[in-house]
Formats: sequence, structure tokens, C-alpha cells
Amino acid sequence: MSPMRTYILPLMLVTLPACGESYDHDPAPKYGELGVGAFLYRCPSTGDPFCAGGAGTASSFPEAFARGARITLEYTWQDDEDHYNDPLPQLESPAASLLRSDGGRFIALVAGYAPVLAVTGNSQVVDLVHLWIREVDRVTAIDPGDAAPAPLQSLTLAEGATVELQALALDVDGVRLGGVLEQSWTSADPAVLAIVAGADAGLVHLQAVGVGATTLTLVQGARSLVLPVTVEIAADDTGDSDASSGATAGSSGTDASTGMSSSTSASSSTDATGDPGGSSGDTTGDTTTGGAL
Amino acid sequence: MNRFFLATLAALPLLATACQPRYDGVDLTLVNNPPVPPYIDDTQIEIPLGIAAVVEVEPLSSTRFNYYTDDPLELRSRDPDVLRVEATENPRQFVLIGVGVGETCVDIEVLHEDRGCIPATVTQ
Repeated sequence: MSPMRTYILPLMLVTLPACGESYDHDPAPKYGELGVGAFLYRCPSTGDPFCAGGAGTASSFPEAFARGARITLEYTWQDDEDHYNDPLPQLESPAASLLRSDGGRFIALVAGYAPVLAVTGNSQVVDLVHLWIREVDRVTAIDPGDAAPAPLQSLTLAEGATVELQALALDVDGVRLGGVLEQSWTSADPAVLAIVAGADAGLVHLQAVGVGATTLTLVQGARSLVLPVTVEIAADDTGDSDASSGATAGSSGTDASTGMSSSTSASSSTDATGDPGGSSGDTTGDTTTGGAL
Repeated sequence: MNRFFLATLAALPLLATACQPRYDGVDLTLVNNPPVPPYIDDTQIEIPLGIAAVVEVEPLSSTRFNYYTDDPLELRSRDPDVLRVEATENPRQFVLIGVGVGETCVDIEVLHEDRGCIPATVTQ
């Protein structure tokens, strides 16, 4: 092989990927039904379970959305040379009784399907997507640091420990619901468990401030979750630690590095009116018995 | 000579008409794949509430002269609170959206001439 060839070949290999330009830069698009572009689920507020790590765009487009939730979407041209440099279309809801537009956001009003249209400046539809809107059946709290989080049913913390919890709305089939709902976290005894930040956000920052037992209540939309919390004397009595770096979720267990433990067996989930299990009257099967840790 | 000229002149509109397409209905083809399937043909449109159906509309001619792709074609809903009709970039494609439970009719206009309407129902 001549020296020239040995030079050109690697150069071609380096150049080829640069020529294979792709417009598919977005991490989690839902492609439009006309194949022109893609719809992105945006993360305008902190604490959205679909927007881990403060990302501007969700890592996955929600399969379904909670009724009553605010939804922020964006459109992008995808691999479409006819439109790539065109202005982005506006997103519109043609059925305002199902999905109301609210200054660039949408509010899911009715369970079922609702279309979102991508409309150009000359009022032509270039693409569309259907959103699946579901009733919230129950709300749960999960450990945001867990890659495969199970709903927490109780919480045991070492005195002084801090922990972050993420609210998550599910439908009757356990499908995680997207969209931002009105929500709040409250501690029944702030002398035992203090809410440091995020009292009205999806992600709450808690601190175990005193030994004792209390409850943490999450209200999300019309549903609520009451989570028994126990704060114990720290084993090494060293005080503060960051539970968010390694909180245990799922079955009962204790994370020795944080002093936090949790159980999946013992919280109660009701609607905000006090109806166990929601308006349908069924319960989740859990009762508030406290976690065995 | 004069009579021949007049006869030719009189025949010209007939010849022109004979060389044009004659409207013979429309063919509607569903383009997208909505989560709940609608029922759409040239005699009836039935769309569930909240569903958007993209349809390709082809005007049919009973003569051997077909419509040109750029011949103007319009679809209009008589009740946009029940069924909305939206234009797309493709002049032959329209989006039919069920926005309210009820019945209405979709008017068809080809070459600026009214060609009747297709009954439409939006179901719950």
C-alpha cells in the first residue's frame, strides 16, 4: 500500500461520519403521525419524574398524561430536508374542551385521547400527535436516585439524615403519568421530619431533625399518599448525611451510608377527599401500619 | 363559410366541456394511524371524540379526463364545534378532528363548485 493510500483511508473514515448528518439530536422524541417531525416533552419545572437531573427535555416521552396536569411540548423537524430551516410550527389543541392551550402549555381536561397539531404560519397542519390522558388512580413517592424505583410505603431515617423523594402519579394500570399536577408535601410533625425544600414541587428535600414517628403526606391533584416516617438515633451519632446519594427503595432495607431505610408494605393512598383508593372506592390494599425495618 | 364558422363557434363550448373531468364523487383514504380507528368513506365519516384522522381526498371523474392534482379542492365542516377540518401542506390531504359529540356534514367543493356533503358523526 502506497503512503498516499495509507493517509487517505483513515482520513475518509474520519470524514464519513461528519458527512452523515442527522437531525435527530433529541433524546426522547415522539414522532409525529405525518412523519415530518417529532414532539418533545419539555421540563419547565423541577421535580418532574420524567425529567431526571434537571434536564430540559424528558428522557422519555410519557406514554400517558394525568388528567388535570399541565403539559409543555415542543416540536422539532426531524430528518426532514423540506423543513429543516423553516420556522418551527406552533402547537395547537383543536379540541379545547379536551386539552386546553395555555400560553404554550396544555392542560389535560378530560380522560381519553386529545390531538395536538403542529401548525405553520399559514395555518396548515404539518404534523400531529395524540396524547393519551388518564385519570390519576394513585400517587406514590419514589427514591429519585434509584434506577428502578419501587413506590415507598414507609420511611426510616437516622436523626440528622437528609433525603429526597419524588412524587409520581400512576393510572389504574400502573402507567406512570406525565404532566405537572398541583402538589404539596406536608410533615405532620416538623420537629421530627422537616421539609427543607420543594414543599409544593414534585421533588421534596427532607431532613430528619428529631427522633420520633410522624407521617409525610403527599397531595397530588385529587389524590394523596400518607407515608409513615420513623426517625431513629443515628448509629454513629455523626449527624447529617446526604440520603439522596444512595437511598434504598423497594423492599425493606437500610442504607448504611445514609441511615435511610424504606419499605413497600405500609402506606395508605387515598384521594384528597379521604376516599380510600380514589373515587372508585377501591383501596390499594395498603394500610398505615408503619414500616418494619 | 359563414355558416361553417358559426357552427364551429357553437360547438366549441361543447368540445371544451367534453374534454373536462365530470365529477363522480370522491375517494377518501386514511393516511395516519390514530389510536382509535375512525370509519371514513365517501358516504359516511365516523370519528371518535379526540381523534384526528388525516385523509387523502381524490376527486373522481366519470370521463376519461381526470382532475389535475392542483385543481382546487376544499372540505368544510358545517359545524366546527363537532368536527373540525384543517388543511395540510398537501392540497389533497385534510385533517378531520372530532372535537364534540354530535352530527354534522362535510361539504366538498371541487373546482369551486359545491359537490354535496358527507354526513359526519363524532362519537364518545
